Amino acid sequence: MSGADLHIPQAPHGPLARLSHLVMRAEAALGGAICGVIFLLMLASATFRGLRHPLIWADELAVHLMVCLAFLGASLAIALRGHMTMGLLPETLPPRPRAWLALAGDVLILMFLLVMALVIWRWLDLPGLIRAGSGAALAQKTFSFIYTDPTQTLGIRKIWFWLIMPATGLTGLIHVTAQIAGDLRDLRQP
Amino acid sequence: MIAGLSFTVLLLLGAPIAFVLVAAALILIHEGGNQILLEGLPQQFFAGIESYPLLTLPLFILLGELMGAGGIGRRLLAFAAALMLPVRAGLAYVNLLANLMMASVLGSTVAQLTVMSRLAVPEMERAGYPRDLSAAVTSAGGLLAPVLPPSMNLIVFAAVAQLPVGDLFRAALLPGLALALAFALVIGWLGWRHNLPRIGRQSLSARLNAARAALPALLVPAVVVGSILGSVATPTESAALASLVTILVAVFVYREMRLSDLPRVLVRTAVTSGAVLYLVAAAQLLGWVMTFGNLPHEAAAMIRDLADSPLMFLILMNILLLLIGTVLEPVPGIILTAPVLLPIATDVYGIDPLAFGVILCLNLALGLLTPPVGAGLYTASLMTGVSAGRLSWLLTPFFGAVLAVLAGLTVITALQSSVGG
Amino acid sequence: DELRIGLITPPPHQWTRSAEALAAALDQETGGRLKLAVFPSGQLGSEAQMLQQLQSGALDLAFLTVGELTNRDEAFGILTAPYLVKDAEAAAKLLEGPTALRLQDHLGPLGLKGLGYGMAGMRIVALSKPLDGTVAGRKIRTVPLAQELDFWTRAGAAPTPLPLPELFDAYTNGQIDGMQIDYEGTFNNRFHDYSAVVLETEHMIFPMVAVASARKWQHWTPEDQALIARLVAEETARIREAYPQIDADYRAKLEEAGANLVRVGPEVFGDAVATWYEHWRSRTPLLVELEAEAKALNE
Ligand code: NA
Ligand code: NA
Repeated sequence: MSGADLHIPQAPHGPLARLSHLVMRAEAALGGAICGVIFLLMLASATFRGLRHPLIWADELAVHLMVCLAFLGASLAIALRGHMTMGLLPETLPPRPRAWLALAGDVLILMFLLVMALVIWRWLDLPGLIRAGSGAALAQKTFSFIYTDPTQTLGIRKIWFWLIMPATGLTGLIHVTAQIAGDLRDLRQP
Repeated sequence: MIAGLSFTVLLLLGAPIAFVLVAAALILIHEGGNQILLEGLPQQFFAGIESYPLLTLPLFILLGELMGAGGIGRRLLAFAAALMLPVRAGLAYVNLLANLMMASVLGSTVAQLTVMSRLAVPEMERAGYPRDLSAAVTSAGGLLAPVLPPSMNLIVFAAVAQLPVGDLFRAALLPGLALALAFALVIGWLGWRHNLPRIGRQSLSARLNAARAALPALLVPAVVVGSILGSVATPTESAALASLVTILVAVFVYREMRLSDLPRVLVRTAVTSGAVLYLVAAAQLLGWVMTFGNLPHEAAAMIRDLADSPLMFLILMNILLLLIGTVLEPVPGIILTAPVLLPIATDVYGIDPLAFGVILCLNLALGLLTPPVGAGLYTASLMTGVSAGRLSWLLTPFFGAVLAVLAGLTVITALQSSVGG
Repeated sequence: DELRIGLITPPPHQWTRSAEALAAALDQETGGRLKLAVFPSGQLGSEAQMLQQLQSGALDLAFLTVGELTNRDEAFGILTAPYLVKDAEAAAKLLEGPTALRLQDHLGPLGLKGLGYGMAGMRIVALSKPLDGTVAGRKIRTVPLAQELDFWTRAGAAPTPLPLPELFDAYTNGQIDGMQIDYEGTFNNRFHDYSAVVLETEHMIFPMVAVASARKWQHWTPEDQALIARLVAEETARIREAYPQIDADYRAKLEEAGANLVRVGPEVFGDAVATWYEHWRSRTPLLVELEAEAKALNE
């Protein structure tokens, strides 16, 4: 895939592939919207500073949206098979072994995403949060301040932005599962 | 050890580089017995790219996409070609010259090569250049941005070294021009070797037509330069202002784009910049874990033990930096290495800190284009459709040019050190 | 045992040199049993990132500016009150006083253990265009900290938070008209070459808080706790002691370099000082006690 001739694949097979496709469309739309907002924020930032009323929150908001875009991009790239690889071996293989390699690659991505999901789950510590009753109480009990950490100028907590990580972890899992199903279908074909 | 091994094997098997980097970070945490880092890992992952200068990436990708979609790039290059004499590989020289001019305003390689690859590569292809070679020439030109002032890398180094930015800018001027000259030589050689096309002889009226057609398009670079120098915008914001002008010119003057095309352009920008940004975040995470294990410090100590002269020190340092640059971005690379290497360079070997900074920054800038991880390499690859492997192969002569300039700087700096050459 | 200390200042800065001295002292006093690795220049990340590392216990010690702390507990902002003390000597004394000590209790709920205060140079103001009465109407680079933004807004200026890497370009290109900085930073960046005037306002302290991870603190023996507390206290005392001289040295360097240094009073900020205190006394009551203490020191 390249930005030059990006095409969004059509007509997916099976419910899992359809779900993945739907999620991917939503992610692409959200990503495009984020780029649009970053663009407008920078325009506004330059304009209002010129008028001597700097938008104190504009930079921080733009930066946070950009980081969200990175995590969205990682999930999108799974769906579009657009992740950057060194890709020396796959290009030289005949179709059958290449299909096996694709399956192996997708299983590795699945394993990676599961490990990350575990890391994120333990970091979020939802059971702990429910037991403690509030983010502040959790912080005093466990030294985990993730539900109380503030942004500098936005007036909201960081956790609202951090939620992009569990969210895209989940969508990434949907995409890679759909692709493994597709790999297996390809391998069953003679 | 295990981290390094699995890293290499997975990369060769074609696993996504970004995931391999994060996996290597996880393995390194486990091996080093620093499991405590896992507790805040997602947070550190996120914070690794919470940086204002990185905003240039999506914004300049947007500008590049818009210039391509709106026919701005085509007209600008036709105009530049109209100014050019009929020499072999003329458009490649035009490309280099455009890069040189942009580098005197921009300080970021990725910003520059993004715009240039949308502007120049399709035109060079139309003129009969192979697309992959055009992409390589364009990407290499991007390296001029962080070397010629202004430069984000030099500013960050100045902060770490507590040196005046202006002095560093002055120290980088000659090496930057030497780099441009070296690139011109490489283009000359490429032109001869690949028999690259000449720019056809043009009549005066054809030249004037090209200039007239390009007049509205010239507003775009004028806005980038003017808004920065005219104290209206930061370089990051200048990309947004120039994007706005691009939209206006493309929709209302050239009528090659409709407002309804904007969502498609934005989605394309999101896909490209999202993937590159995640890669940067992943590399940054690995760098953080390595720093936590005090690896930069140990590497610096090793160099100090091995080197018996300023020249030897600088050579070993260059090798270390080239290795670091294969994975890390210049800015985190500077922050990781400069604090541990600079005191040794100045106190033990009597090396001039300004010259040291120029060598360090040029070397780490090269990392943007070297595989396996380079934001510049992948942005260029995504924007031109040339595979990263192919692109890095074609960049080899340009890498050679950078290394030649680095070697020259290294020898001169060593000879000038107070400890003697 | 390998401990880690993180800070955002570069190697030549006094804070970093003190951290190195702390590492050497700790090594010597424990016969090499406790080693301290120093991570300058934000190698471990921003102060927000270091804070998380301290909270989880990944990082043992840090020298933090009050910015990130104030963002989490407004009370820390009292230390950045305008015209609180008359000079750097008084600032050093104030940071040793009972109110500053009590403020360290606010670190506990953040997962930190306070080990004393250091400081950087007194804040001054560099302006790219000549002064014309007050600073009103100018775009001044500050850090995004409620008290500081509020002060500059009250002074009629446009406080503009800019990331540090953007500062040089923004000032030399004219996107901002001035900045709040110290003598040291002005000279090191040659900002005086781009300034019509450098106002010696010395209107604000720039405090540093030396902290340990509360989680790690629990795991150390009482002897180690006492040793670390003593050595850190010695180093922060040295920083406080050093800064009046550092300020004087850099001021002299600026003068020698031909900087247009101008001594001005609080009137350049209009009535900002008075209204600022009115507002923040009720928001952060500890300020009243700090003021009383400062008043005694200033006499
Ligand atoms: Na430049
Ligand atoms: Na690289």
